[in-house]
Amino acid sequence: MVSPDKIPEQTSLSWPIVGAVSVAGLRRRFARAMITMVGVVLAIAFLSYMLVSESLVKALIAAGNDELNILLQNMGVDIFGGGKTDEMTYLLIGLTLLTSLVGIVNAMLMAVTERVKEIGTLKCLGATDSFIVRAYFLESTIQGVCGSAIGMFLGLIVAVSVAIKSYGLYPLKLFPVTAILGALGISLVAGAVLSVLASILPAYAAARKQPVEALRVEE
Amino acid sequence: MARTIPPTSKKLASAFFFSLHGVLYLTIGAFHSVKRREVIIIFLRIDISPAAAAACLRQGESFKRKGLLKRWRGQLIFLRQGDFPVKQNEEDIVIRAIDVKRHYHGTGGVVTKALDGVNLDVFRGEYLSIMGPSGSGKSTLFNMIGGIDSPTEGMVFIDEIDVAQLDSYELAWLRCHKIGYIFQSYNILPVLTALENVTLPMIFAGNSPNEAREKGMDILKTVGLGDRALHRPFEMSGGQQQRVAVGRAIANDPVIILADEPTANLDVHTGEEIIDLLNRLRDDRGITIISATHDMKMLNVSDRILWIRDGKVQRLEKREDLDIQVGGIEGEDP
Repeated sequence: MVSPDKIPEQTSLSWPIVGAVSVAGLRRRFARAMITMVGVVLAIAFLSYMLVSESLVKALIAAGNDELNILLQNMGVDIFGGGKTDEMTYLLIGLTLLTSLVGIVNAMLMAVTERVKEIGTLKCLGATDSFIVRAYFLESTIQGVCGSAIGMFLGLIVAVSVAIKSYGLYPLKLFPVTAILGALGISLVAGAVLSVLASILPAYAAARKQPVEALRVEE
Repeated sequence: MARTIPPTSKKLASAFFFSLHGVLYLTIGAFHSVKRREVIIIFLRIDISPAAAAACLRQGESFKRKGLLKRWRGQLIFLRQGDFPVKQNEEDIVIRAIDVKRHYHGTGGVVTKALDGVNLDVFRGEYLSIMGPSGSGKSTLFNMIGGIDSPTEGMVFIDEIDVAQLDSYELAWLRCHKIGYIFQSYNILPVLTALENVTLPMIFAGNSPNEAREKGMDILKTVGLGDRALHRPFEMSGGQQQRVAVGRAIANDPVIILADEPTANLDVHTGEEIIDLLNRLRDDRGITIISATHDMKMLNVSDRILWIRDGKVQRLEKREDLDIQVGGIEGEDP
């Protein structure tokens, strides 16, 4: 029997390897990772666009400029309602986020199925379940967080461009820095939470694979 | 005058001390049956600290090494008098399979008996080949011995460790430290260099990256790939990849190397080189090599050959008893 004190912890040193395995996995399946990421990018861009637009419009209304108020009313903004986004839009954003969540889960489960042999080999070499969980968790989290960051900036750029097109240079003059940083922060956090949630299932699916799979010969 | 203690009483006394050793164990019964020549001691665990548990485990391990204990894990301990005295070569047995059965339950209640009562002792430093047609249970037995599958019934001991008793973390430890695997299709991680592939198990074992790198370079030299350390698998031939796999298998100085058809994907020459390499490792490092194979060339270097059929051991032969002719091929090969 192996006495417990003879079994050393595996956690401390394996993080760099976890990172290497995850990044390597992403690099090798770069095209697929990109497609999954596009889903996240679009969903987060949508969220970020809506939030940034809302902050901009609010700032413009708050300025109380007559010329600007006419522009805003021409654009169909209810200046007395405070420029709030309606509930339907939030519902739509929610649905988009949900779709991208399902997208990541699906893509990662595929990745796990494709790499049973690799997982089996790692397990034969002495990787613990927790190592596998961490590697796959990290892989899909990297995907999600990168996608969120890109989406966040994409949304910002689109929202600002649209605002400039509609209201001239006013949005830049009255740029509500704090509110927009807040909006970007919310987008990024939403994206991160989303990708972490999406990683749980695939990571556990990966850890449950048996080392026997490594011996299977694929032709 | 010193009183001679009869052997059985001695064993009982040992067992008693074992139970005393963990004061936290409550012994609820000790039976000795003369007719069945076995001693059964039942411990009931009440409460135990990790340190006390570790001490008990160590004690148990030492008893088992001496052959005193056959099966134990706190709750249930079996001592068979028939197992005493300790056999001469007990220390040399690296794998012991006792009446191993593996049944698969298919649809409609059909039970497939992949293994049906296999007994096998593998000795330290020997080269054992497992032969058998496909579907014979060869792979199943191989997986049992490798600690990557557990038996439905029976026991498998790897270096005195009862595999069935281990949880997934302990199994990972066992695979990491005791066993080196070589696969038919190499299974080199494609994104890592040769050196990184070899150092990976050492990192899993808790070595520092520097230590691992140094040792990894030594191992690559041993397998004849010293100048290929930074190459990736796609830049290497099949034989070179298999060498990396051999290097990876010996990284943590395992007790056993399990090779599943290691030459099946290689040409005759390269296959022979791999066999020579394995043979050399067996001679130099005393590693036990177990291979499942169809390759007659491998039989030539094997100490023993296990033929398996329909889940049962058909026969177990020593090389001396075999008359294998593996000639003629070298001449034809360019």
